[in-house]
Amino acid sequence: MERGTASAYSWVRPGTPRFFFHLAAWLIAAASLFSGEAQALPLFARQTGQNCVACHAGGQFPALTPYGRIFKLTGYTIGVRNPIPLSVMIQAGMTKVANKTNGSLVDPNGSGGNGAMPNDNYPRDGLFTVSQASLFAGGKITDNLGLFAQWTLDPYSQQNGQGKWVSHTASDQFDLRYADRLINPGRDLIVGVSLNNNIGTTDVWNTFNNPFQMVPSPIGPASLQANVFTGPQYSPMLTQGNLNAGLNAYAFWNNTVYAEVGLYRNANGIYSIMSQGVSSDNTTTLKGYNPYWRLALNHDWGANSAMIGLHGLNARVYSDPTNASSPLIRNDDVGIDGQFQHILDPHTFSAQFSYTRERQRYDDALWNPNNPAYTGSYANSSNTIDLLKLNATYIYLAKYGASLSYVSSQGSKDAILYAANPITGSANNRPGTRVWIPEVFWTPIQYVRIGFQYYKYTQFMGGSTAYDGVSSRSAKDNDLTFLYLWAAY
Amino acid sequence: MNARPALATAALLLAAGGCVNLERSRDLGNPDVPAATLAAQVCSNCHGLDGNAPSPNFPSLAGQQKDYLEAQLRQFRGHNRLDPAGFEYMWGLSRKLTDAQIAGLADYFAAQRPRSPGPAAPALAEAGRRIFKDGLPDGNIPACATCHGEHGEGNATFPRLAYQHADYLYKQLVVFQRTDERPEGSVMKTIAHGLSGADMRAVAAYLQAFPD
Repeated sequence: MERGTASAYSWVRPGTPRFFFHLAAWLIAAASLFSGEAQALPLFARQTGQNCVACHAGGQFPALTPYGRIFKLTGYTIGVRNPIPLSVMIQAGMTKVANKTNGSLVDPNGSGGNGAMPNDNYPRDGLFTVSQASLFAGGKITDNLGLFAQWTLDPYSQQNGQGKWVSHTASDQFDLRYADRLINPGRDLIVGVSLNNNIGTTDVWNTFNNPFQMVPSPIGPASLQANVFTGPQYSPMLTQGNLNAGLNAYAFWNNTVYAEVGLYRNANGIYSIMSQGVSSDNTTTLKGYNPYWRLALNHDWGANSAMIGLHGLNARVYSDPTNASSPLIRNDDVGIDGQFQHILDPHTFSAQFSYTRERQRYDDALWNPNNPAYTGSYANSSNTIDLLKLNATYIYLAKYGASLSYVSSQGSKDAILYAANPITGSANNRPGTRVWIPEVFWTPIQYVRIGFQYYKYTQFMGGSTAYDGVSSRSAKDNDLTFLYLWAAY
Repeated sequence: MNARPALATAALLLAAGGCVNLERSRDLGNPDVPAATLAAQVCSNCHGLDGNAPSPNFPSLAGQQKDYLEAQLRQFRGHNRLDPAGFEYMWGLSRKLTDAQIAGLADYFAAQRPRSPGPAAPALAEAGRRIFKDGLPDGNIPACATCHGEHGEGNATFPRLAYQHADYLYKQLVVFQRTDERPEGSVMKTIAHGLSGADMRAVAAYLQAFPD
């Protein structure tokens, strides 16, 4: 139930009446499928009647227990069909940047920057802010069919011409599954298909393309946002909330071998239920059908569970999401990831890692100055980015927790893509960013979580001091404190 | 755009998903789903398909007394068993089970062959064996074997203990001793009253290994 980042797309238009019409129609249709008595717990807990700790490690989102993984892989169909297949969630918080004064400009009229520091880079800094409110619908529909769908309202989606914030509602996560399980003493085979809207939404280990933890509200410069991902912009594998449409098939054999393949395309036309609230121009991000794959080896023993896996994607991404004839960026992603869990009441310990290498190759017009249609987007014909994520979490009594994360994104040098620019640019034209994120949190009741994170940057856009190429700003000036409240019902 | 593939997929999903699939259902609200199906599709996730739970978070049910299993499922369904492991996991799952399904589940797991989850340290097991066989005469604690059987096999509503996870046994002894969360086992409150933490660890370790 982690947030998606549909709202991170500044070009998204505000919610339309058409969206709300579709939402209402879907909810009525979904509600008509359900009957029975009401229970007072969030969506899936109402369906199984179980506590959050049954499916979520230490009762914390989004990490799943071995049982939670089976619940998802068997299509959200365990339990009693839910009469009110809805839940709501709200996230609020406060972020504070270490240094809002941006440092003096090295060369106010330099060619790399825009000549002056932006006046208001941190518009909601230090202010308590409701960052998102979500509506979930879904759960068990039939013996083999289940749904997990999320719509999200972002109160601070963008600022209008007068500087006022405009809210925006859009599809967030969508996962409609058909699953079957063939189990007998000699064999246990789960097979399924998923219609979903984001790479990573289908995965049950949450190791790649999913934040390990709660993330700061997406307000302020993009580079200061949650995933501290500072690489190329168009990456369905390395960024979330892309709202594509995927049809995936998967199998999990003897709780040991997991394999999944999927094809992702634009979520428009008949698939637009998965990208409601995002204009059709803006969902034109992928050309054709783009293959995704995932392999994992899982082993459970005693109170422990371990997984090691591989993941990959080959995607053709339009350089201009509003133009289906714009030059293409070809992404080739391959990565390795793993997880260890030890769950024995009252202790929950988990450790995760994910390392993904992405190679982007650009159509000639994007980088070759001799091409008549040259756009000047890149200095190189191809770039690479390496994203490493590490996390260790301990939770006591499903109430008190602490975690430590480390994220590093390193990439090839590109003088245009990573040009000097206030705050988000690079003096040495490299995207390299490293951050440590310690966190403590408290879950007084299972529907509420309060937490505090500190983002300690040791490197930002290729450097530690005077990194952006136009000012004296240091990586540590971007250090972030984040206090958050999460609640769901 | 060409919408046919998507429409075909949606139609296939709805057609295939619309059918009731009694032999492989995970529906806990349908009285027609056979107990053996529920055991395989739902219970096995934590308790193991053969009733030998892989994780010590969950009790093994293999070879458990049928009367005990039935009684516990009814206790969960009626919200009369209040220990956290009970209400967090089992209240909801059991809430719509019919008496016939409960009887079928009890039959299924009672018929499975129990296996030890692992050995115990010899010194600990020896201390546990003495408590199991002889009790603690000084503490006025009777031998466990008196009710639970010489081989820890149980008897009717006295549960089988042999080959149960030590961690589960220890935590349940603590529940009996310090709370009233399992009223159906109130006799254990008196019996466990004089056991120290070390005693409980020892007898639990012995029962998990059950070397003889």
